Amino acid sequence: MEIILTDIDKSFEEGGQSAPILMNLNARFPTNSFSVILGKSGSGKSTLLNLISGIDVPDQGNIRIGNRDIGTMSDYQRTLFRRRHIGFIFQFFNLIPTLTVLENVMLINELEGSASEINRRRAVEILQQVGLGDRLQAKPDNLSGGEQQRTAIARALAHDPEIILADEPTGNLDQDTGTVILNILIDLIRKKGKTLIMATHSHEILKSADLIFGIQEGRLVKSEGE
Amino acid sequence: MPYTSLLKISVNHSKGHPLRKLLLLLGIAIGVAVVVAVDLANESIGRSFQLSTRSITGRSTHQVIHSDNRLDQNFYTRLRTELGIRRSAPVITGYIRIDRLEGRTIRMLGIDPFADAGFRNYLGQASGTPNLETLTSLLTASNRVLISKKLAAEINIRTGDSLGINTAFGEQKVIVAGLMESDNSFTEQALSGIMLTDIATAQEILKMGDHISHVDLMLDVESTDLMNRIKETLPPGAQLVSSNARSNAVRQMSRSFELNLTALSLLALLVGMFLIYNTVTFSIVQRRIQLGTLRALGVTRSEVFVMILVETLFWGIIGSTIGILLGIVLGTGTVRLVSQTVSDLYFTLTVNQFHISIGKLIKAFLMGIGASLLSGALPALEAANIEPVQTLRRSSLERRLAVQMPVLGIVGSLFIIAGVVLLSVPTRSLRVSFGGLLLIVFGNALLVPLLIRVVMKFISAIVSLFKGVTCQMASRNIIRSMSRTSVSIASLMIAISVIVGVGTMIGSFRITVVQWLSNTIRADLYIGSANRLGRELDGDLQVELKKFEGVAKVIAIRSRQVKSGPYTGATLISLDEDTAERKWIWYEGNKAGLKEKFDQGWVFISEPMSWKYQIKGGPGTTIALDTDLGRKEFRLAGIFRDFTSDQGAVMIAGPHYKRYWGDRYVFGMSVFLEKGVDPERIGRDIERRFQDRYQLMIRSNRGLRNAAIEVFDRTFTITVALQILAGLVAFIGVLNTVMSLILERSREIGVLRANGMTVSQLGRMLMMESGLIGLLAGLFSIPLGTIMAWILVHIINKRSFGWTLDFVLQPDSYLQAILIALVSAVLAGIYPMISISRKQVAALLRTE
Repeated sequence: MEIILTDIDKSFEEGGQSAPILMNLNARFPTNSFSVILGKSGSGKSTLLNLISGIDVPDQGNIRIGNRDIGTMSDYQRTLFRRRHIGFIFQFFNLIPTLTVLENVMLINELEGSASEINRRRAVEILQQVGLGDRLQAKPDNLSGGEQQRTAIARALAHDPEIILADEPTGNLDQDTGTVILNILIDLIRKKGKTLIMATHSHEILKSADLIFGIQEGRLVKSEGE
Repeated sequence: MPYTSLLKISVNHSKGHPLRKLLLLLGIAIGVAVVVAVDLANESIGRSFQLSTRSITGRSTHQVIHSDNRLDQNFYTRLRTELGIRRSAPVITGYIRIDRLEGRTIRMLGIDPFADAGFRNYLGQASGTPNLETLTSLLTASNRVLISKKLAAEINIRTGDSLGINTAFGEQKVIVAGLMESDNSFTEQALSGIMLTDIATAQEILKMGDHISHVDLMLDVESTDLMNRIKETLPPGAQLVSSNARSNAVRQMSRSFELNLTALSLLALLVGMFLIYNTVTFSIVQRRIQLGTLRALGVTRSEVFVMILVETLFWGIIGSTIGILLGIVLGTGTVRLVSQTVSDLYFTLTVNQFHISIGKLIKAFLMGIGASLLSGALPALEAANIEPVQTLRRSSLERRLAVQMPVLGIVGSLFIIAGVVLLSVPTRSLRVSFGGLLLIVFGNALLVPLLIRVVMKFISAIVSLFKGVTCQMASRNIIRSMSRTSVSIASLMIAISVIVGVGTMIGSFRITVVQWLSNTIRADLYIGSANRLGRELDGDLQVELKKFEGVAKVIAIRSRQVKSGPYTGATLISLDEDTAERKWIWYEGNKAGLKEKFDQGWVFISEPMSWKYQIKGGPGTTIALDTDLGRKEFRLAGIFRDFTSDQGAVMIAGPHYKRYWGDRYVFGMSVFLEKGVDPERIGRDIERRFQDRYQLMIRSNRGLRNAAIEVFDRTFTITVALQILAGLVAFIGVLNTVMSLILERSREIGVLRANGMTVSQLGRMLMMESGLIGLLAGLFSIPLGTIMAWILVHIINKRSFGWTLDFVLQPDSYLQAILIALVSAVLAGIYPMISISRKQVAALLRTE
């Protein structure tokens, strides 16, 4: 799915004043591409991912994903759209502590009401692909950081979304584990043909990316990778 | 670190989360308010009683009273002339109603204005008319009365006006000869409840003939010779008693009832304590990073402890202050309910003014603060004990609870055992009994975490059979947040168990009373007087009723209160024939011979009488009663189950009653009809026939039973009101918990929403969590409520009133308990659910 952002403005209220974070931002993320967004803390990387996923809405501008305009959707429609077409990977893993590894991965399909046996099979398969086939019944509390993020990657892919959004996926891991995680993620999305947009500080990842953007003063600037 | 800085941090923190702070305040306030409202009712009754008795006893130290309230006035003359007791005054008392006071009852006090001066100073304070004129008017003209200036203003009456009054003997007119007033507010209040007149007028209005009610005396305590000489001259049925002892005996009548209310009122405060504990714990968990930082910066454990406790104290002070104000407002309702019950069951009482002492208000205030500090101390200790690097995370609280669970289980079990031991102590002390009950309730609360773990295993197993991850998450969240859910479930469990316990007790009581009424009320018609002030009929009516066509048998019921002797306050009941099917606690000889014994003059006594005076029965037992012929011993034939009065009842056959007390106080007639005769028609005929001579109230068998049940239900109205208030505090507790749980999980909820959980799915999950809290509380409340009901029925009721009740389980109340718990918990979940649903997913994800 192609993602096109046109004239996006977004600001937040801070101490009673409006602080602009994205200004007149324009971008295009082609289908099955791997894009990296670089930027300092607070530059608006997470906000941009939130806008693409429909978690947040822009003050102005349009976001088109495929042939759909996210801005015209209701909250309910955006939620369903996210559930069906987008996978999310967070910096702090954000697994649900009351669910097992398998249940976390099955979660989105469960919410969608998919037949549980098919859902389970798919979840087990993807967990085996990320190397957690033997930790299906473990609770997130008992996993290492790397294992938690692998579970999060499996969760983001289990419902077979066209778009994966990853917000600093290695930001909370040591360098070696981070590299392993990135390799797993990139390998999977290449194999499955997904659009991946990743917000990161890490420059190591740049060599694998199709597109590289930087956020400067609220605008997205294309970098060397193109 | 100086406390001012810590205080500043506390104040800044307190400014946030106004709704939760409001709920905390409400929890404390309602708890304190219930205590104040019940204290206000009890104290207003005590004060009104004091005013009422003070108006009669005045400064007298002793009184000569008569078993029949009819002392020959010649005895008074003998006291003054033969014994030379100048400090004596005759008194006549009776109740009247003033038409313009909407049926309110006040006391008529007949006195000798000259002899009375040393005892009561009301006359000295008559205003508007010179004293001499007032006295002359009272003495020389008939039907002249004095009323208080306040009362006169209330009914718009002036000196010289005529006033319509109602007595036991019909309507009368009196002339207001003067108005009384006092600078002293206590006397002022006493005055507004009485109508003063001279002896002759009182005798005429109250149909006392040549009798007076009693003689007031001022005797030196050491003058035993004089007392002995008075005793020697006492006529039959008269007795010399201490004024204070007499008043106290009457006042004690409703003490058990009031103590039961006080115990119930403490419950709302106990439930409130759980709420405070939960709120303070949450506020600490919420500030874990801040507290950890403070510890790292050098704030000591004790400083953290004091800081948290000072915060709790602050909320405790505000909550208790609101509680006192709220309690005074609630008190207007409780005073009405309690005084109605006291008047129904114990003694005629008109509460004109609310009264609560500063001491009681301070007590309630301190209880509110004490409850706050006690509930806040444990979380404050938790906060003080954390290491700077550890900081108090929810997970560490949960881990600690998991470790402590067996200890809590053991301590809870020890509390329960201690409660059982305390209840087993053979004592009549209600405080000990309620103490035992409290220990059992508290012990059960400590077992709640263990119970949740066990029950949730079953619930989770059932939930896993259903499709839907939301259900599973909901059930697991209960266990995961047990440090918070267990407190909330425990408090709701206690509130609901009281509904089950008290409901089962009232239900058992009601069933027992209904059964007792159907065994006791056997006649087709009951005839009594419609006059509220005097229920006396006369023997002639019985003779005429017997002649009525269709009437098979008429049994006269005579009833009077025992005014003196060892059983003062008990009811003496005389029946021509005992037709009731009685349940016997004990009887002399064989059951079949009881009728003969009764006819021979043996007496039956009620179970409360046996309990109150520790009369256990056994061969040769006698009881002493003051009769018109002096004190007589009566042989005891049996002790029967009875709910007429918790002050006890003595039953004696008609002929023997007449022999010892004359033929007065015919309270009613039981009319048995011939087969096939319509009771309604006969009732109407009787009413028509006697309408010129008597104000009759004719009730069918069913009508009388319904009237008795009506009084029964009215008695428990306040109990239900107190239960509702305790339930309200528990509801606030659950609301607070659900809000806290949701706020704590904001980020997690954000992740779920980011991953595609819709608002309705989120709502279902949160509703299910709330519902589970309610379900668990409802389930746990059933065994605890049943145990509580058993204790109330078999121990508290027995020790309070001496009643043996059939313990009847009430399946309805179980269902009701689960429903109330579920509905209140689900209702409590609605607001937090809506509130979190409205939040932006991005904002939730940003939550720390």
